Amino acid sequence: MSLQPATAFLDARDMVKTYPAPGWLTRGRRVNSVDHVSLSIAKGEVLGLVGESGCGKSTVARLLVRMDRADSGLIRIGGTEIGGLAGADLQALRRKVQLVFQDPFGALDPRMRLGESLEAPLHAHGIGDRGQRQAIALDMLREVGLDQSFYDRLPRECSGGQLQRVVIARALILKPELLVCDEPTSALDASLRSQVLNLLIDLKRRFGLTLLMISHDLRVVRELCDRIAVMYLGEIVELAPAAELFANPRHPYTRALIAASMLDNPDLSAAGVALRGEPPSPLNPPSGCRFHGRCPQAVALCAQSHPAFDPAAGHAARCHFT
Amino acid sequence: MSVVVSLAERRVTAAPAEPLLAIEDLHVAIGPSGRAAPVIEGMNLEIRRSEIVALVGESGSGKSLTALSATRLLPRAAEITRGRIRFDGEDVLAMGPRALDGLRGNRIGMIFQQPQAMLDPTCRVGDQVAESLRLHRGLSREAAGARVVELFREVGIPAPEARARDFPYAFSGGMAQRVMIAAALSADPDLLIADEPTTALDVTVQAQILRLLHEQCRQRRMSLLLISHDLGIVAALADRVAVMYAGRVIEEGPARAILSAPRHPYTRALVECSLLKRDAGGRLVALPGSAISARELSHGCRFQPRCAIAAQSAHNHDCCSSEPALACCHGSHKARCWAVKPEPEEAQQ
Repeated sequence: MSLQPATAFLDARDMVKTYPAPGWLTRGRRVNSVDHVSLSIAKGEVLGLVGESGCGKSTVARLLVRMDRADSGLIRIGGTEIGGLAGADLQALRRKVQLVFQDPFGALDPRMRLGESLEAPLHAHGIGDRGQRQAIALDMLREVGLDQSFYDRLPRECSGGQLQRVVIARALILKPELLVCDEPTSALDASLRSQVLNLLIDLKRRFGLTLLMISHDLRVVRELCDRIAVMYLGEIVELAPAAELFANPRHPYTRALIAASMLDNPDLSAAGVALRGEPPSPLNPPSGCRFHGRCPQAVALCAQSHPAFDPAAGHAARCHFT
Repeated sequence: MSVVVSLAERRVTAAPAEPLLAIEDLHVAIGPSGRAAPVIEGMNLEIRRSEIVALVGESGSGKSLTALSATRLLPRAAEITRGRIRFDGEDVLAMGPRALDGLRGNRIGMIFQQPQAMLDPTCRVGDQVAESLRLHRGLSREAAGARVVELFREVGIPAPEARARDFPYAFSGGMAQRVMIAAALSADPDLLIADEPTTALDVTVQAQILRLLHEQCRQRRMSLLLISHDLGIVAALADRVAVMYAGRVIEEGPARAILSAPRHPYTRALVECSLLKRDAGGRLVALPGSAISARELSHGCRFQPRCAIAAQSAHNHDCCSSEPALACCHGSHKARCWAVKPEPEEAQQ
């Protein structure tokens, strides 16, 4: 407790997570999905985590909610180290930390009425009797802007946007302090995306939530987040306050991401020029700076030496040229 | 942008008058006969030679079914109940199985949202693309293999000889989509239908795939029907945009006009949503409610239940009682809204 800043609600240091490589050709090798990642989120803050698929951002989410255990590193949530939690202590963590997934159709049991799905977490934690649970569920439906008729509906009777509201309601029903949203809007149409983002902003204010927003879409995190961390091949390569990151991106990868997300002027001839190819396999991460193979500014040094990163700095970038 | 636009304009002016694909008054219904519910009602769409047309709308608006109708690949439960579809002057709805085989793949290529799901996981990627070359073009095994490597190179797959021998699991989403594009281009189609081709991809790869599609259309003088729910994505690519809502087109026109001066309140909301615009109160502009399907419809304008204009304006009575026609508002820019008045003196820009 004494080591972390007094305001940090979540403090993760040097998280490492490796998975066994898939396939028999690579048997015995391990993929470094998350490689010495440190993050902290202050109480009430919204932190964005962006990166391409396969960069390890969802693994970070899994580690933070203890769906997976880190190989090494320390994760403190509200002052408690979560790595060794078990039994009742782990149950208590589940009440504090909840997760919203990308695909609302996959996150809800297709044969369960939405009311039952909503009450499942209350049931699991032994909260209230049947009547009280129903009252809490109906209350929560109202909070996310759905009427009571949804209580008896099945998932197939709803649109994706409505279901994502239910998923958010279910995540909030235990009154968690930290909500981890893993691509909460990427399965939704553009018109529904704004609805769900507005809802998250409102709920954050009303419930005093601390939020981690994971997305590959910079446009989304820009609207929502106080600070943004950019991830590439298992590492954080840039971390800065949101406005600062967009005004003055320091890492070439961040610049390319901003260009590619076609922010204000949708113009293909500018986008895509900055970034060629796709991320290399995390099974064989490049030597030196992991981005050097795709970087327009790379020099010989970049292939040899791995740039340092100081997450404590106000605006940090993992690049030799900052 | 200027380069892209000028090329696009040249393409349009050079096109002959007869459209390549003409869909007229298309009606599609889903469900058992007798209880079939309409999902597309009175859809009209034209695509000229070497033109890029974007079909935009929310999920459930009928844009994919429109595309599937054009190749007669509708799911079994869906049926075309009325309308005409002509491809290069031929009546698609009257075609027999033989003629349809020639149409699909040969003259109309298709790519979809989930490229990985379109590939057989147990076959080498190159062989899968070669199969269509051997079927449609009658090439020998060797000739087809060589052509596949050429195609892979054209769509920007690095080390094409080696990659052709790989299995699908070794391909990322972006690379798999390039394979699908190569397969679709293998028969040199006149029209490529791309149904949400980049929705499942990362933003960085999205831009690459869109550029690739644009390049290929330009080089081959191929038409493209691009289907997407995100106006931002089609903006830089399309010559013309048609916006679909609940089974029919509610606005269409040149891409620049649609994006910079949308006339239908639905299109306006879509543009603002796709740019994540904020309103005066600092909230993101969002469309209230969710899209209705054509089957839930009673009378009046299909967008009326979600429309801010209908809620306040003097048009209210019209909006609730009868559906507006797709009326010309400026040049080839048309919108289906009671509140839209033609404005002939509006500046070209």
